[in-house]
Amino acid sequence: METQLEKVLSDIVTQPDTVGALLANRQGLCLGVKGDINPNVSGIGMAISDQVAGLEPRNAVAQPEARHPTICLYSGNRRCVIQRNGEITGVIYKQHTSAPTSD
Amino acid sequence: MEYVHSVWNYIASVCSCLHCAEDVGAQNIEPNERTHLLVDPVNHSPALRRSNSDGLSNDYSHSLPKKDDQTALSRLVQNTAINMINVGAMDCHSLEHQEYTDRIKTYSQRLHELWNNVQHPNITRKGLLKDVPSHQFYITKPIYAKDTLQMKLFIEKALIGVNQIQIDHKEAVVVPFQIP
Repeated sequence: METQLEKVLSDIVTQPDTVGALLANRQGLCLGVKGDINPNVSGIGMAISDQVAGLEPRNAVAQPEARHPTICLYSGNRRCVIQRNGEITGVIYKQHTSAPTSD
Repeated sequence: MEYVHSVWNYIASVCSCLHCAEDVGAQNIEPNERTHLLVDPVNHSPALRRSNSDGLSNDYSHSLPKKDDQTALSRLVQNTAINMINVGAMDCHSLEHQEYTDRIKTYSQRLHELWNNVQHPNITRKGLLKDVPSHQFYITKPIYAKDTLQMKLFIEKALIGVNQIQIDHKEAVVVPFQIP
């Protein structure tokens, strides 16, 4: 049933610097969670992505990418990456161990 | 230097002329920054000579087609005359140069005092990060292409995963109630 989703979440937390991942639906309810991340974050993550998507509504017409902005929040040596794509919102927690090479 | 002096004198004379009418109506009162430059300009306007305009319209009455038009035109002339201020015809009290500079000093000093007493609400710091102690640290943080790429792939895969979710029901989805 949700094995595919579980696999995606397991894959993401094995990637470097990634400590946790979460998926939320349109209502902000948690669809799946893996790693060091509170499932209650789903609603907040969805709300943040919703608000940010409303910042540039005109751009969404010209470039559809603007409809799904990626939000990066920094807190200490951690960062939280949020993105929304239509129905679902993804939240990834990353730990800043070594400076990643920006490519 | 002489040239500068002469220019200054000219400016001072022009300015004093602008200030000329200030003291006409207020000779007994100490002039301040609120004293009008032109005292009661309506009284000095050529509107008082409206009899002239009446005579003018009478002179040319034969060329005007109707009486109504004539009165309308004369009213127009009167209104224009009322709104006119004849500065040249007014009494001119020239301001001494010394007095002029004294006033500049007094007014600027007064303005300075008021400016210091005024509460300036617009000088408060604006910005979302004003209460964050080390906001510079966070502003300089880059957004890694790695993060966005990872997120993009994660969302794409997750979307496929979510779409694959379906319920395999082993029992009957609709349960009939036992209605007697």
